[in-house]
Amino acid sequence: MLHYLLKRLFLAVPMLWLLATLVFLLSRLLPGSYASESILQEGNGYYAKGSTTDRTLAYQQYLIRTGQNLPLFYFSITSSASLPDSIFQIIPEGAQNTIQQLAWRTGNWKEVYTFWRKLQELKQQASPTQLQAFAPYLRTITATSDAQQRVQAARAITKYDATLQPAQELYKLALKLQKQQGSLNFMIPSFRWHGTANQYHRWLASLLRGNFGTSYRDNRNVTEVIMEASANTFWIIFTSMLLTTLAALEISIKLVQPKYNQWRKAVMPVLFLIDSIPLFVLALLFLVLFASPAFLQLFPVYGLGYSHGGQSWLEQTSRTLPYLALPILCLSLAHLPYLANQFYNALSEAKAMDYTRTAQAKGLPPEVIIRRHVLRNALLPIITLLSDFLPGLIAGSVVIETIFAIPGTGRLLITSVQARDYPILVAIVLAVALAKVVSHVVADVCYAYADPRIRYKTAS
Amino acid sequence: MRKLHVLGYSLLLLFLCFCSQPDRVPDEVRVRLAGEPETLNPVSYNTAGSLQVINLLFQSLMTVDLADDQIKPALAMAQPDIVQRDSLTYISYLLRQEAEWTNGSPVTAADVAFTLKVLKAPLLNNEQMKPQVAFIRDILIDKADYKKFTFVCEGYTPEMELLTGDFFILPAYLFDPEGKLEAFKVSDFAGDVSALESNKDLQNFAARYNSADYARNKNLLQGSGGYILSEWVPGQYLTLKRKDDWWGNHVDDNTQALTANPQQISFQIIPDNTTALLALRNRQLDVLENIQAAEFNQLKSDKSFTENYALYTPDSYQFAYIGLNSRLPKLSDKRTRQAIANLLDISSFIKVSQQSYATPTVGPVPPAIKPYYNNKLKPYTYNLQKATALLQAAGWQQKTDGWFKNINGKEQQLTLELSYRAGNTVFESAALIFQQGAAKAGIPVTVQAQEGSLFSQKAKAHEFDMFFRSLSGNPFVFNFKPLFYTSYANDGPNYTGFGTQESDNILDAYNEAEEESDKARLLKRLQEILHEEATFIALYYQKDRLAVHRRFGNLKISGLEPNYDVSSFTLKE
Repeated sequence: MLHYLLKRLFLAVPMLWLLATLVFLLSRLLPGSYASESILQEGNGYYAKGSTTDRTLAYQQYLIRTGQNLPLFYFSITSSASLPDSIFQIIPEGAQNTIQQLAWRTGNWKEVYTFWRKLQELKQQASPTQLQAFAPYLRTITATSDAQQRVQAARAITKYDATLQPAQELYKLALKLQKQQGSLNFMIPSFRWHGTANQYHRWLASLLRGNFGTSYRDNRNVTEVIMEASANTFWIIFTSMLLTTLAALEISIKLVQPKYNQWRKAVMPVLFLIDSIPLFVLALLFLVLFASPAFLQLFPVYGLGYSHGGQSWLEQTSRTLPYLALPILCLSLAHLPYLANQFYNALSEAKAMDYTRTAQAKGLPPEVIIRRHVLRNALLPIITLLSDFLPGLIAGSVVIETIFAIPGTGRLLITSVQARDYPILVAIVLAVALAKVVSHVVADVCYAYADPRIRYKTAS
Repeated sequence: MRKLHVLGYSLLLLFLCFCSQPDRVPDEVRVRLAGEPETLNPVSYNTAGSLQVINLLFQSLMTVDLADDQIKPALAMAQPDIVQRDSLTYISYLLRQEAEWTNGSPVTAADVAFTLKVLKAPLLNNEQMKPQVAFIRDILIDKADYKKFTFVCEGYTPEMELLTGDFFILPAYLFDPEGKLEAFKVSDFAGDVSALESNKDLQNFAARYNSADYARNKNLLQGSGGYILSEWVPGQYLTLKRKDDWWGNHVDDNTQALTANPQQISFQIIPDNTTALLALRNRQLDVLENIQAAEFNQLKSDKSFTENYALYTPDSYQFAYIGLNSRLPKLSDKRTRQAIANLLDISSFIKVSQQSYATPTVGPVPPAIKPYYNNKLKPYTYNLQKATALLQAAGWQQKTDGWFKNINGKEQQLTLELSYRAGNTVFESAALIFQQGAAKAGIPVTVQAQEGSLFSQKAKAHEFDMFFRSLSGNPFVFNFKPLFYTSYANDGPNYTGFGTQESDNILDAYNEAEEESDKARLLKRLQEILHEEATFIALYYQKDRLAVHRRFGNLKISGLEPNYDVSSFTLKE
């Protein structure tokens, strides 16, 4: 048994690593980054606080400072005409597409990057009147896919002012690119090795040292942030799970007995009805019914109340309980129908066995039969269902947390996705995955105890 | 089992204890925040909620008085003196004599210099504010008076005066107790700073400054404002307490821009709008802004609510507009775009999605600002005949299944994809109304909600047909250059590609114009051009909706965010 457990845990480690790596790499596919909206400020209307060039430069500095300009992984397999990540990331988003397209068409990203840099230089050096005159040609250069048009536009710019050095160089580069147009270089894959200067290596190295990193938003330690968030919702979810399990057990035990047949005909449809109500509707319904002055006002509307320092544990709990009542009730009610139904099915299957008939023949009362004999034999599916609870404790419930304004892990996950706060995102996914692995192992142990017929042997 | 039952029922009884409202100081104002203010650092704050809180803790040289939407001096004594010499502009300020930090030490020009260094230095978490002060090359501190200083700025634009007064001044004694930045001068950070990145002092300062301490620590985030952060429970609430003897109460001038009236201000973090509304009805909140239109109407008709709360609908400076991608061949003809504009039923939009809490507008200038608003123009209305006539004039032919035109040798149908940021129910209903209206004209419209950053990305890459967006402005400066100048159409904020020779000239001339009449004339002509080109079609200016408890007076309700000034609230006797 011990061997089996150790083997399970041992195999879980590479699985967790694989999961974390996948989440790490896939999450980076999201466009934008945490500070892109606030630094680039392109949505700002009437007056720009700072020029666009300054803002683009500041954004590049931000990416370099936080290490987000580094390549993602140790190696990348792309077309040999693609720009390398470290350069690509710092090109402003609006221009990324055009440069990438141009690079693929001509097959030489170095030339294309130089061309683009020369274009930016020209825009900076030209005077406002010149820029106005160049505007249609600049538009052609960036928008067109026809090399001939690009060359013609570049030549037209040189005609304006012979002394403008960048214009001359731009024209030469445009001619060079025209020669390379249509090259099939982009079909050749290239394997680029990045060494240890990549985001994944940094993350993994600090993870192995036990450091999950710091949040992008306020630079706090990720472990601290997650512990704080899960501490808020741990008791809510734990209590609601306990309540749901006890209630589901009681209901299913009662309904399986023949004398409660009429009850079963009434209770099952009601449970089905409750199951079909979405969780947020249920939560809002509870709020409106039990926390609103228009109806009954038994509970506070939101939050966890105020903390007054120096109170004993009992005082604090009794002060927070009214705030927890509605969320707990809501969660319990939401999960009750499913659990009750599954428990009922498991019990009724076990009840159809021969030993139940024997126990009846022995003269035991029906309640005792169910509780002492049938329940034990129906434990396996029950344990499976309950093993899903452990990851739920850590994952939180985003709907309850948003509606009742309780800051928990669910809401933390959603806000970190929206804000592209990758360290917290990956850490939460890892924590939940770890909880799932542990819960499966615990479930296996429980199976062995519940059913002595199950033996776990290592491969002989 | 019996014991379990007893346990269960007693647990239930424990829950059913009637909630007691927590003790409240009568002079406490409860305000709602829609999200956690992740950081309260005055340089790297990121949300509107955090800005509202930081405004109570820290101050800038100039501030906006929401009572009359005017810019008034806060830390500065008066409006600055501006002198232009050679290619530099010299902007001089004099700090108030009474201004002091929490520990009683005076606010001096050295603190302003320190703030500039923090805003411009490399390696620090300041990339958001750095571009705003990039034009300030240096600061000259008066030798005789430590409260007097001059900014040396490059070039001149009309916004410079505003921008110099718009950043929070940091206390050097809290942010740099070891004086690591004292060896540097502000002019060191102008231009190429790569050499400074290896400086040990700067690196040590950066390590300390970038840490979580300067985002959350209430002992370090104390400024010259009237309040200090007394408690912050992450994700739940923040409490600010008024300083005991704030210098702002002893200032002689009566501009009323410096206020700190409530004893305690509590910011409650409630993400869900329905919960916030319930909390308001439950009297757990004193102020709630951003109330949905339908619920606002309900509140208006609720007598028991209006007894305790007053409802306001100030005109905001936020407007909604439609952008058409004029680079696309099918939309490059002005008449096509005008035809689409004639299929917009703006009054329907306002009635359905805003419940009439909006004013139609012809351009990006608010109708409330009468000197600049072109009232000779009429906003677009739904006119099917005019739209059909314009389409025909633009060369489209109406066939059985739509409008067709020969573009670049190919027969193309006029279809539109209308995109907007997902989650915005106002735009969703407006989009559906437009879809119906366009269907009557024979134009199939696909409505697409896109995730926030994807929406921005597509706008920047110019991969859209038509979008709905909203824009926030202010009444102080109208510099439409980033939005409408042709050079910004390539990779700048001019997503729609609007621009003619004349509009460019107007935008340049507006920046140089001195006289109000000249500015008004130019802006009115700009609005005419915008109306005609129909690339950037402004729809309506929104009204904000908020409710404030009646026990407070002197609210300073205004169209500018956050619509009220909580520091000026006074308890009515």
